[in-house]
Amino acid sequence: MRLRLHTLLFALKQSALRLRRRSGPRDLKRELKEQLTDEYWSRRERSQSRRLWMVRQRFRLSSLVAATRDRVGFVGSSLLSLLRGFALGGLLVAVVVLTETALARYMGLNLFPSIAFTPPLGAFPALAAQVSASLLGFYLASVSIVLGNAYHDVSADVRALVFGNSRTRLYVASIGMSIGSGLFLVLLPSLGFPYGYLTSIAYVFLVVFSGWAFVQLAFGAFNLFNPVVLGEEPLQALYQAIDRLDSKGLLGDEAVLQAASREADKALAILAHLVDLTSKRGSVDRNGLVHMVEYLLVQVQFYAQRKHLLTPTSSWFPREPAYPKWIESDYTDTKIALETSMPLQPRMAPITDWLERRTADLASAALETCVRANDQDAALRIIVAVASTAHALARCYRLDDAESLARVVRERCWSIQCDNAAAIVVTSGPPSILSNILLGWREAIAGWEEEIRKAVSTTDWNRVDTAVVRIRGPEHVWTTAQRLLRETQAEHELTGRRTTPDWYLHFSLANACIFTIREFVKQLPQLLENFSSGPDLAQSSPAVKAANGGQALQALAKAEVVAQTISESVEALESLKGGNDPLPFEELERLPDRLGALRSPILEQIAEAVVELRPEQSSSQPDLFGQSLYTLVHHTEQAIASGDASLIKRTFPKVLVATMVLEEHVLSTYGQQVQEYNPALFDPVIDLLEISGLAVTYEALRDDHSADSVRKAWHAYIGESKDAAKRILNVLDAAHFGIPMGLTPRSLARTEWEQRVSERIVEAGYASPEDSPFNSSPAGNTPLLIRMLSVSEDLPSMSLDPREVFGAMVIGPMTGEPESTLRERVGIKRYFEAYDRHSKSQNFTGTSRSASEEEAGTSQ
Amino acid sequence: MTDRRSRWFPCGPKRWLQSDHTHILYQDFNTRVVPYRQHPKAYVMQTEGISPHYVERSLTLRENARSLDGFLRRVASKLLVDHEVWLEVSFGERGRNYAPFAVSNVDGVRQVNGGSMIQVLPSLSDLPDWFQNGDGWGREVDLDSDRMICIVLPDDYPSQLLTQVVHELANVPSMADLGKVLNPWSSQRPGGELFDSNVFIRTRDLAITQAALPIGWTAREILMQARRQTNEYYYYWRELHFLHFLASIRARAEEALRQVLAMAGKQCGFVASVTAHGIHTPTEVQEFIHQFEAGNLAFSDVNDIILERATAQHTKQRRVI
Repeated sequence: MRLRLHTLLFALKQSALRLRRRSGPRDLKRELKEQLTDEYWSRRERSQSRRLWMVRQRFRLSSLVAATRDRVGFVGSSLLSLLRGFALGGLLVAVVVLTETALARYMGLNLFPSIAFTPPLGAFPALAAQVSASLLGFYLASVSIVLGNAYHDVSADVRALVFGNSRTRLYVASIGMSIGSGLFLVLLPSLGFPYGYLTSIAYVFLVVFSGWAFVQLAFGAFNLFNPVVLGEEPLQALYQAIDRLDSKGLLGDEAVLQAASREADKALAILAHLVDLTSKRGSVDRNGLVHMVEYLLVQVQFYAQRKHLLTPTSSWFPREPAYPKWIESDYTDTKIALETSMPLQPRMAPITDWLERRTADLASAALETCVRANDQDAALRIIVAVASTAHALARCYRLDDAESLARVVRERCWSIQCDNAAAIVVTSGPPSILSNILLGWREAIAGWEEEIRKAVSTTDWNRVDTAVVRIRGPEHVWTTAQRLLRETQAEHELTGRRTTPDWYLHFSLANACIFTIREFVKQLPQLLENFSSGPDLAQSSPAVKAANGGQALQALAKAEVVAQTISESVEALESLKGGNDPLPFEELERLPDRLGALRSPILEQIAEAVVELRPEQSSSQPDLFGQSLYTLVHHTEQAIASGDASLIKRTFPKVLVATMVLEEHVLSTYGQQVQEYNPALFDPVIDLLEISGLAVTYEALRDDHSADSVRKAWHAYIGESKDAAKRILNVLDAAHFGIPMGLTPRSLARTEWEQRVSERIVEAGYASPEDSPFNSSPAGNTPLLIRMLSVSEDLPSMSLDPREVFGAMVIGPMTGEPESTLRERVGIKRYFEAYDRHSKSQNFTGTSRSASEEEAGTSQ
Repeated sequence: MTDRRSRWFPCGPKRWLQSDHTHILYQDFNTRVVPYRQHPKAYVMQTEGISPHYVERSLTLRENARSLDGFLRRVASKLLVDHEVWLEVSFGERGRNYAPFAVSNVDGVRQVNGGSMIQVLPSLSDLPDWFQNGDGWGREVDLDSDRMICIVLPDDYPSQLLTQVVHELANVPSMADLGKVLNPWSSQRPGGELFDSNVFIRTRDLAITQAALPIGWTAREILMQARRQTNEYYYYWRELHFLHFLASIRARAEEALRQVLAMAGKQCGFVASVTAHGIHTPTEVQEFIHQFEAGNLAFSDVNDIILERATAQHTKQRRVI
């Protein structure tokens, strides 16, 4: 109510100022001379003093009320509430009875029939009063016990919440109303009102009050042992403080904004106490704690939506001193300092992300509590809430705040020294939070051009008292927009009109946005690195490494998507700059390479983890082994396709080992369950043979040695064990029989890989000539293996599967079986047929190593 | 200080030049009215019948400015300070430096008795000892009005306007005044509101900017430093207006050159032609301003224009004479 009144007064004051304001330029010379007089500063001081006096009195009053409440303690506070309820209850009953009496006596209206109360019903008021009083006594005793035991070592603010919160006062007031109305009804006959006049309404009141008091007491009044319950009060205070930010009256009143900021600060401090208290009590239900954190983070999202309504220098933001350097100061400042023999005055820089940081601290503390209690669900819920808040902040263009929030949570996530299921969730949290930030930021920047147009058209740049430019953006854009407004207002002061045209306003804001995007692009690889690798990841368990790596890859993929959006957004923003040339943006062109360089270390981390992990038996835990292996297979195939020999060398041996572990697990787990032959059982090994065959194929296509590490890995695995090699060929045979029976889950993936290599063959000009009307003769240097694949230009598909090629070329010689036996194996039979057909067809003049050479080399 | 005295010692007793900002204005004007370049020079002369070297030597108004650019710069600067410039062209003094003619600036010119001109030398109180004629009074020197050339300010920037600008600039309180008020406010009023230097500096910067508004001068540091009060567009817009002011004064100096060369050429028997390189006329600058206001001129181009770079895209050659 007080704020509403204040808003009204402020609006009236602004209207009056607007009426009084003269049009035209300011007489700056006169003002300047005035500023050099004693009277000017005295007048300013008097005005400021009046304002400060009012604010101080307001704070003094609120402090007095709070202090009184603390001093009278629970009993006094309860007594006050009780008396208030007592008076209110009595008053309501009295009003009803008197009205009824008056209507009946003077107007002859008897709205409700009189009731002849029989003794049980007549004794009800006295009974209700007695029961309520007993209940009150019981409640007081309970609260005293709670205070003495559970809250003896907490801060005064939290203790004040226990006996001074609104809910407690409501309990006591409702009991007071029940007692008051009951006693009043008991006293009615002695006051001259016979019972006969009393209608049922008064009784209804009494019943309602009593019932309300009992219900309130039953649901929650004795829940004071749970500190999380007390969080409702500060959360409500924080919400109210944030809710006031868009009040028009507050935008121009720094004193009230400062007061609101202090309320929010106090609420956050109390919440921090409560979280701390919760962490010390293992018995407290963490569901309530998570709920509190979720609600708090929702408020931060709410805050992010209205933060741009404030100026960056608003009193809502607390200050910290920033001491200027003499070498960086301009002539005027240094001259003033030298002439007055004073140091350079520190600049009180606003902390614009204080609320986000404090909230992040709270969420982190709650997270740690959940992890230490190994409450995986609660930890996951908090991580999800933080990620969702970071996403919302980034979507509201507050990228820096989102980063700030994420950074605080990240530090805590990686500093918790626990080795349990909840810790795994938490350790992989930072990359997922970053992914959310990137997605939110992508959504934001796509609409930035429209945001600028809207801000320019809705801001009244001519008005000196306009507070803010309503544009959303990170701090640089926010600050630039407000500075632009101030600079444009200076033109009004100078000449009485605005000189700057709209196109420059668009230009300037677009420039600020592009600058922000450029800085983001510069820092993105570092950001990904910071959020992908924990400080002690080398010492972490394989599960932690795998979970973290998976999330890091996900963040990397999001970053690549963001990079695409950025190039489109920058183009749209550049269109706002009129005839000015676009700024060079080499960072964006280099970004894909820089992001690509980050992938290898993450894959190595996953590869290290996957050989130590084992397939998960229970579905209650995430399948980190499967996730890591599939990720590695996918990226190894990409590395083979791109010829990244280094990455193949580091990942393929681990993939091989893990695949064999998985095969064993699959056969032991599912082999017993299936009643008939299922080719899906061999999918892991078939995948492995497929990418091995692809490596050999790409090697022949590119004429390089990128498949060497693949061969070495197989040799190392099989060694001298001919049976192992035979088993692999048996799997190929079995898979060959199984294919007509239906597709396996991995069939489509393998088809996709084969299509890709086919397209590469066509691109290289090695398409098979007989199926192509455009290519009448084969390329003279087509490698034999590529010719054997018979890829058609019209329909890029291969007549041989890469796994067959690898089985015949590499695995076959290791079995020790004669070639005639190998030729009988159905899994690799087609290879030998193709070899016979193509090696005899024509002279081969290619420079690549032929299949026979490969075979010979492998045999040796 | 009287007007009479100020006419005699334009660079000395003109007290307004000693104010911080008017002094900077004078420096800026001097530097930019004809840009300093090595190659090509702002103005290049070609002559028939005489070496251009001798003509340039004759046009020397100051010992250290023996060039066409220097002559124009000097005339323009005198015009800014005195608001009108009288030049006397002399012939037959070939003794020194082999100059075919000589041009000199004449101060204290008055027209008397129906058009004849005299130069009134200063009175005793105005003169240094070495310039007195012995009886305590200044001398009157008869001038040949046929050899006199008078240049006045352009219509867009009349004398009253420039007087108002420089006086307002000179009257803006400077840092010395600020120092006087700081001590009482910082020491005698504990608990009270201190003198807010930021408020003062902003008002002072805006006051300087407002005072120089008619000629568009941006006062260098004020608008482009960290504490600048206006935006980039406004800065360049003001700079273009200042360039218009410079070009207008420069056009008057070009007129003086035209008259001097016509008079000297007729007497000495030579024909001179002058070409300006990358020097904008007031009309061109006005067109640039219109383009800039419409958003059709890039900031990089505006920067080249206001610095009048010879290599800039908008640079053109122009025949002055």
